[in-house]
Amino acid sequence: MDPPQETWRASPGLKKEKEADPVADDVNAFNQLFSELVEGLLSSADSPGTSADYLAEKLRNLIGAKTVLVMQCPRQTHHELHEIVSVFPGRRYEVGHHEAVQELCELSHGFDKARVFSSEAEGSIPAALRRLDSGAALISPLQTGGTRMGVLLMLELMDASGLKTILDTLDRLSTVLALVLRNAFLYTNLEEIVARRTRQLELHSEALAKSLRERDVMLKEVHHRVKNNLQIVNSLLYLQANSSDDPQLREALLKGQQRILSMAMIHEELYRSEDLSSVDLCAYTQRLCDGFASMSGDRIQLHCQEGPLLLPITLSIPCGLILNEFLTNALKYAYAQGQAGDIRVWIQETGGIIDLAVEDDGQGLPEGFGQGNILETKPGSLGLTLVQGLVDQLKGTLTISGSQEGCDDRNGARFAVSFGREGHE
Amino acid sequence: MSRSLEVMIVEDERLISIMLCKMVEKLGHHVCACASSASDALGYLEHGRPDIAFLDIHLDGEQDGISVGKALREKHQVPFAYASAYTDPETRNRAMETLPVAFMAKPIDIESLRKACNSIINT
Repeated sequence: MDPPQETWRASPGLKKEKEADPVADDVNAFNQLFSELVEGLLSSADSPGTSADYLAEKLRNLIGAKTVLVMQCPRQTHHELHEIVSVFPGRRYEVGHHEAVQELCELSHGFDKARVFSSEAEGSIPAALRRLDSGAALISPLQTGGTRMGVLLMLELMDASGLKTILDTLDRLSTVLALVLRNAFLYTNLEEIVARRTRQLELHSEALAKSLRERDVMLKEVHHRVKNNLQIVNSLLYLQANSSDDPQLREALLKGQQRILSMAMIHEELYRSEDLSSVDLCAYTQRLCDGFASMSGDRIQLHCQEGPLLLPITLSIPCGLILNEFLTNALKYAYAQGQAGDIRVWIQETGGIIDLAVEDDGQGLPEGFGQGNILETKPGSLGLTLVQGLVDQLKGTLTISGSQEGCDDRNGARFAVSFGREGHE
Repeated sequence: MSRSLEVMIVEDERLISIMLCKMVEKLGHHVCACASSASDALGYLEHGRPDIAFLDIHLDGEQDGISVGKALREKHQVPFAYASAYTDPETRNRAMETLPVAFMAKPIDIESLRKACNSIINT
């Protein structure tokens, strides 16, 4: 880079002339204007173009120059050339695109203060000024904290002789404008980063939503297929039961069919659920009870808590099978042949503890039933084995209570399971 | 014994079709036709007239059970019920627009069939 040529400060002749004729009044007036200019600059700090326009106009009027340009450094804009922030007067905007202006901007790199150049001197800067048909010019770097934001060019100064005393003031004004440009640059940069990040997040979110939709479709298909397969198993057992002449075999097969049906209903509820992962136990139990209608008439009364009781599949399948066993048992044993009576189903969740119970007003329990190890009181009962196993799986407790069969004081039987939601989800 | 109905089963899964036939017979009704596709079902309807039809929605071939339901409603005036594993709201709403007597979600139990048949007998 060429060294600065013939600056106003470096010119002893001019310096002498200024010392001989001080312009203290002008300086004072300019300094008074300084605070007004700073205020004006900052009032439009959110719009660097407006700030630059303001300063360019004010300086042109105060100092007297044909054209004032505010250019932004390419390091800040990531472009190849200095960019025009402001040209005053606006009709001379095209000057900003002159290649000599770009050269002046480049040559001003390394300046730490405002300088005045004559176009008649030797060197690159005067040569560039001549190409612009400019006489003397003022070049002021716009920098703050060591970061160069751009440059202020005042081309064809009307009178370069009286500027020395206001150069410091100009430097300070340039610093304020540089700050405005820097803030604008940071803000723009931040906006770009935010916009880019937002776009990335949007893309990520779209991908996630697409993936979730695909997951839902796949889950739905899985539940559908499981349900269909269970329906086929159900059909096979039903057909097998109906083709058998052995009443015991028929009963066993129909019980198996009913168990499969109770599981298939869970998958039906899952398929219908919004999140495809939880089952409303109350709605499920209602459907299960409806399925028993031919055996029960209208004897089953369902008492559910208000609102849904949502359970994940890991809990809903055991619950469904347990309720199925309780209901089958109650319908078969609670009332003697020909007798009718109510069967009540209770479903309730309180503080994370889920209680299921099936009770009747029937003939009560066989002697010794329900006391001690349940499996030992009725060995060989698949239903009880299943219930005990499922209760263990739920980490719950099974309670069987009721009057003993044959007692005068008959108050039926109650089969209840209680388990905590905690540890399962 | 209440009135015995002539029942048409339209179901592409053979085992389920057989089970439905057995259940219908167990309820005291007669299965007059078993079809696995919409075209088979519509072919039968050219000469036969069931009292009620049970329709799966997903069927062999290009047409689904809902197109059969539409034809039963508009052309043949035969009441029908859907028996389908596709119970999502979109399919269900499309099916309900054809005004079936029931929409039964698989797995089907004999009680659902009984209710649907009784709704025809009692009208």
